[in-house]
Amino acid sequence: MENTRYLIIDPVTRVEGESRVIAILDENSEVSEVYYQILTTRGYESFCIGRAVEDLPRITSTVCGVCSWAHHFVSGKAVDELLGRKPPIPAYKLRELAYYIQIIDSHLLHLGVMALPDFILHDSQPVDRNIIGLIKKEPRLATLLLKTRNLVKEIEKIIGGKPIHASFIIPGGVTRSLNREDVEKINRLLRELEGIVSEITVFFNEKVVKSSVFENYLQNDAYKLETYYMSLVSRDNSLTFYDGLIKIIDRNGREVAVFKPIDYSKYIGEYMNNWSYSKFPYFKPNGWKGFNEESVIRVGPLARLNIVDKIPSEKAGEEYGKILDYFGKKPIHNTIAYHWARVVETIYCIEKMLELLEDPDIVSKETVDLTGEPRYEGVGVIEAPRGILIHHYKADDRLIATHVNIITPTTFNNTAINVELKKVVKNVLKNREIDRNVLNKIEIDIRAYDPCNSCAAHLFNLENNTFKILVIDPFRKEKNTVFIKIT
Amino acid sequence: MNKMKLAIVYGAICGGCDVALANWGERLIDISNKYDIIYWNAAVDAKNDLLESVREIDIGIYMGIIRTDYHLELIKTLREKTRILVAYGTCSVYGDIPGLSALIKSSRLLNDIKNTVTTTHYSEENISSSISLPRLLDSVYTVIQVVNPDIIVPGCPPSEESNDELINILLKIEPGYKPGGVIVLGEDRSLCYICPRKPEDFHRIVMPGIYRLHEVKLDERKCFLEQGVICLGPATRAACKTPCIKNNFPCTGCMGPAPGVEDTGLKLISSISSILLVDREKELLEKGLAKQLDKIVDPMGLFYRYTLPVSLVKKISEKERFGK
Amino acid sequence: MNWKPRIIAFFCKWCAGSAAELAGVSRLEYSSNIIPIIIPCTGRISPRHIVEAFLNGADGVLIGGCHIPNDCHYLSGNFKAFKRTYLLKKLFEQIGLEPSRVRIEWISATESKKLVRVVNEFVEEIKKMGPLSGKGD
Repeated sequence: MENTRYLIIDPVTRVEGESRVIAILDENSEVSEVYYQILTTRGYESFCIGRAVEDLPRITSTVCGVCSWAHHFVSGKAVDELLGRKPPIPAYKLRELAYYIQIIDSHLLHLGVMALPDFILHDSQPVDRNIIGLIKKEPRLATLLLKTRNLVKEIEKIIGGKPIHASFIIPGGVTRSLNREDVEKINRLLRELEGIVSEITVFFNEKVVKSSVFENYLQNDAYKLETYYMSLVSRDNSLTFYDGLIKIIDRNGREVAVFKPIDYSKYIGEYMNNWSYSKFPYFKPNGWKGFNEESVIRVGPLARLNIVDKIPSEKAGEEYGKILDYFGKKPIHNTIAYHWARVVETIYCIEKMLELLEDPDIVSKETVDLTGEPRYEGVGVIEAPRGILIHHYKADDRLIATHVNIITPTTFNNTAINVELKKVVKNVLKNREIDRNVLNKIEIDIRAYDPCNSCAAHLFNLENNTFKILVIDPFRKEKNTVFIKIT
Repeated sequence: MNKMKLAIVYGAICGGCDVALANWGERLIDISNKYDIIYWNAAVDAKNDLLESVREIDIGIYMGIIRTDYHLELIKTLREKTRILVAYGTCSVYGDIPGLSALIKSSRLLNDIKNTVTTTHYSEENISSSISLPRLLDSVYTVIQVVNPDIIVPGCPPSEESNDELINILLKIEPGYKPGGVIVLGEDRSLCYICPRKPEDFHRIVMPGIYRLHEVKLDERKCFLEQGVICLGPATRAACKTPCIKNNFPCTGCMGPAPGVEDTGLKLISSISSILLVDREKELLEKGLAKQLDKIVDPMGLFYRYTLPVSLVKKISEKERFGK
Repeated sequence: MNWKPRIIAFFCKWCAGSAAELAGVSRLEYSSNIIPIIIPCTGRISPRHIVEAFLNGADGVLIGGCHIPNDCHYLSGNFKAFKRTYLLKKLFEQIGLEPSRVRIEWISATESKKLVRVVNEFVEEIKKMGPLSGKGD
């Protein structure tokens, strides 16, 4: 233990939320362990108990501010089931329409602020490797990306009132209908967005996909994990976000499970430990196999592209074809491909949203159905930008929540990140002096998952007798521990 | 001339305030021309050793609730080193929704997590103390309970108007400037003053009963209180342009308490009692009135959704539990 | 234990407050653990007053007003007091404070014996509940 060294990346940057990586190197500088830790939690499973169920969509929206609509909508679905309600068809379509903007928003935000700096500014100084640096190096691209923020925000304001933590979903429907003026405005904004995303896609294909930097990551086996995948699928096995059945495939692409949301706990188990505030979900029928590929189910854009048979829209279908051509076969296990998948999904969601805007039901006044016999339990599942998101509620006869279980996509991917990081750290440190750019290569793996650490943060209290907790001074001034200082 | 230094630092966040900042869009370019954004977990690659080594920060924006000992150290350090501290977002100022955990004992928290339907097993791995996690505090705290901020920006997240105002302030600030008092972004009155819906008669508002959100179809024009739906507008600061009301949803109070309101819940209990069924009191008597009041099944979650940590009732709860 | 319960009693001057006066004049004894505060109407009591009482050392709060439905001098102040107290007690349940530390009673000006009974009863109840601070004072 004398010569154990700790390599700490704290915090992991250009991801959402608080996390860190600690790698333990033994006396031969071999990597013995790597921990990806979620550093805080807020306790939704606890304080949502006692809340009136109709308030949960608005309350759980704040689990995450990047995917707040995902939580807001899936919570509505769970509450609907709990109350025995079905939104009328126009309301259902409105929800479906509205939900696309969540995917578009989140993917574009991630691409611009978090992902692209790694590939376009790969060898820049860390202080320049960000959206501000992007403005200097690729001013047109950066301006376009920043412009998408405005467009996305304006669309969200029309539909949800507020772009972040919207007020839109109520039990049995939505708060209000859209009118013709709204539809025209959204149409205009979306067309402008489509144009910009087109240009960004061209840039992505020409300057990122074809770059040697990106290529090297795609070909590097350290950034690859042969895992199970899970996503929603529509009836004809095509890409869907708002609704569908849950499907799990194995590392060879074979279907191992298809089920309705209410049955999720038969297939998903969660392991808990004392070094992360996030749990570790795994494929229950296989049992927990520890931190290795056997236990891992991955979710998110890559999982979705692996599972579906087709992407039913013109331009997105084309881009999907390009990915399939590149890799030759599915499932695609290369983690960096997540970024590519995100671009495809953004295009898809814009196309589908424009299509749905033509539907006359969108302006119908039938926004809510108040009838239904309460069942006092409901499970909602949705494809959040980062993957499958589950809300499960139970309530008593006063319709007050008695049990709340939330599993977020980043929690699902938590096991994968920990398993993969060990490979990545070993690969990255081999024969290299440790500096910040080298450490960034470790973070590049994490960023591919677009982790939403606020989502993954559950409440967990470490106070108990058998394990002594050191109160860590935030700047970690501990004696007898050797930290690798990076300048 | 050297740019001024701007740091964005977190407590326990949801990320919404990060997105709100990212939504400054092209105005981020203006900000970056004047300031070096030296620390911002979501967007910039600085690690926490920078916060340790930097000696002076011009603008520090803190978002999120103070949940762990690390967050507490961080806000104190930030206040020391920062000339102008901005408490951004309702989490940092009043507690917001994670503030609802303010009265929950640690033992119960552990139980709730361990007892979710999907949790199959838990183990205490033998790990070095160097990787142990930051410790959860006995309760949650907000910036205003720990240090004195210079600028307060309430909102979940802060409204477009508040954001525009903050950007304008940041672009006007000269090096060395320190505001004379605390600047609060938002109007000095409650939401009702700016609400597009108006009651039939301002001097005699009558709540016809209490209906939960799932019990009625919400009317798109009528004042929510006059529909029997609880709206927190009367006790909430007007720091937005009522986007929720315009989207046909009652105010949930995310902008924090209106000026003059020290405890949101107590104020609302009083207001609602003043207007509930005032035209039928003698007909309904205690029993009838109680029946309607029983519809408020979760007063804490409804009235204190954003302000529990800074409320007065939290203090008496502590007296009861911990003898403080 | 040396603890003595301290109870704040808000009495409206028209009804319960007058009953207290009458009790005094009639030399009826009631517990000295209450601190009567005479107010114009129970409708004037805000939930905040009640909470402030607890924050400042009270172990219980008693409210005495005019009978519902017709006795309130200002017509419906007592109704407001009822609603506010009812909601406040609901809240107390959720935050972990015994709701029965707050009690509201209708006591007319001539009901001095009722006042004495209510006060003595309430003091006993609070004694059983113990001090608000959780430990002895």
